[in-house]
Amino acid sequence: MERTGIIEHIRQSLTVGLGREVTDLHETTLLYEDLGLESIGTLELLLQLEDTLGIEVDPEDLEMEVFRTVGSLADYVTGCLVETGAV
Amino acid sequence: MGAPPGTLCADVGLSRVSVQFPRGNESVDRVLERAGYSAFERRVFAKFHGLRDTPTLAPGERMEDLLVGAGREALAGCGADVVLYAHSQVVQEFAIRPGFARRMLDGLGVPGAEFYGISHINCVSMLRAVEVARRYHARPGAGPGDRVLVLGGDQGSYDDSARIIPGVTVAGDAAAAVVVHPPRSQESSRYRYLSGGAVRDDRFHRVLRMTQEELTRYAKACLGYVATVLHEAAGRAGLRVTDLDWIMPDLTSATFWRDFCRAAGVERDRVCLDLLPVRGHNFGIDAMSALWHADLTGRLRHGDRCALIAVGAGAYVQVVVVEVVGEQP
Repeated sequence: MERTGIIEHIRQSLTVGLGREVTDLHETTLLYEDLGLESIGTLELLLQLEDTLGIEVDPEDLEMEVFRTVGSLADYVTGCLVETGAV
Repeated sequence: MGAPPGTLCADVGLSRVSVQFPRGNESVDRVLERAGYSAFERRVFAKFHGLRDTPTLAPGERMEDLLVGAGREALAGCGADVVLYAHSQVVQEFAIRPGFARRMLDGLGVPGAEFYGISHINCVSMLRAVEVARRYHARPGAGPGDRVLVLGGDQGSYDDSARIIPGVTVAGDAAAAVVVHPPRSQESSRYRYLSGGAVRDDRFHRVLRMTQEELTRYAKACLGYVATVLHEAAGRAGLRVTDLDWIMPDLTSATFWRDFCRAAGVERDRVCLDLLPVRGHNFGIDAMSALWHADLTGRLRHGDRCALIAVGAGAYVQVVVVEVVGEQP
């Protein structure tokens, strides 16, 4: 899957995690500071990504750094896709 | 509480902990479904919070019997001068039925003991009761043979609305007990009290009526408070947090402890979360039940230092640091 496709999936999933539509999203967008993502929203975002991309998130592997920016989350998702053989 | 915990009389002993779970269990998923949670929301509890089952009284089982069973086991055939019943829920059907204190004292086999409730501090009640027991042993005229039985436990299954903290956890039915021995007691204790600490932040007094925004701020604040109080309590015992061998946690959710370990730099395998999927959160007895389980499964060694941590909505944080002194069962 292309990087732009992953970011589009993140954008759509953020709608669930934030409870509102997100339109302007970049690699450097800060998930907590810029978008106001909170802890429960983060968990819902991850479940949504699992559902739409078919990845498996292991809660034990998650480090805070993953959720710093859209780009860092996209890196993490890419890693999960590699594990599933989708990339 | 007056004097800071850990400065009153630092050498009380604690007996082995006794814990009683009911025969029944209910799946957390089913409790949440009944409360109207969507399948998506329920997955958060299962996958991230690590909650699978919640102890639930079976038909014919009574919460009073769990409390008496745990208490009698902790007393081990000996008496008590005072019984402190620590509970989170202010009103419980079995406890407001007339004669509760008398039934408990008779059931425990200590009809002449004094009986007090420790409440209105939510899930830190049992660890706070240990501090109250220390105060009792520090009173003028205290004797080396005095014994205080600390009992804890609530009936979560009485009402789903009382057992679910929205987005956070589901609480069950269970009881725990421990005897607090005075300094210079002739009895052999399993644990030696080293120190304690506590904090309260009444910004979160709305508890179950907190908005999602308040719950988020509460969770964040609690992470900081647990780190601070743990550091202070360890310090009062002359220890660093890294010197602690085990953390006996509040078992509200794995998410909280994952976040705590990341933020505080504590190794995850030092936090005893084994009971979380199968027993989950049981109001104020979590840290005691984690200690009980760690001892029962042979994890504890003589000299191990354990920090018992309770977090209560409101918000309250209570930490008790103990050292394992007796032999393994």
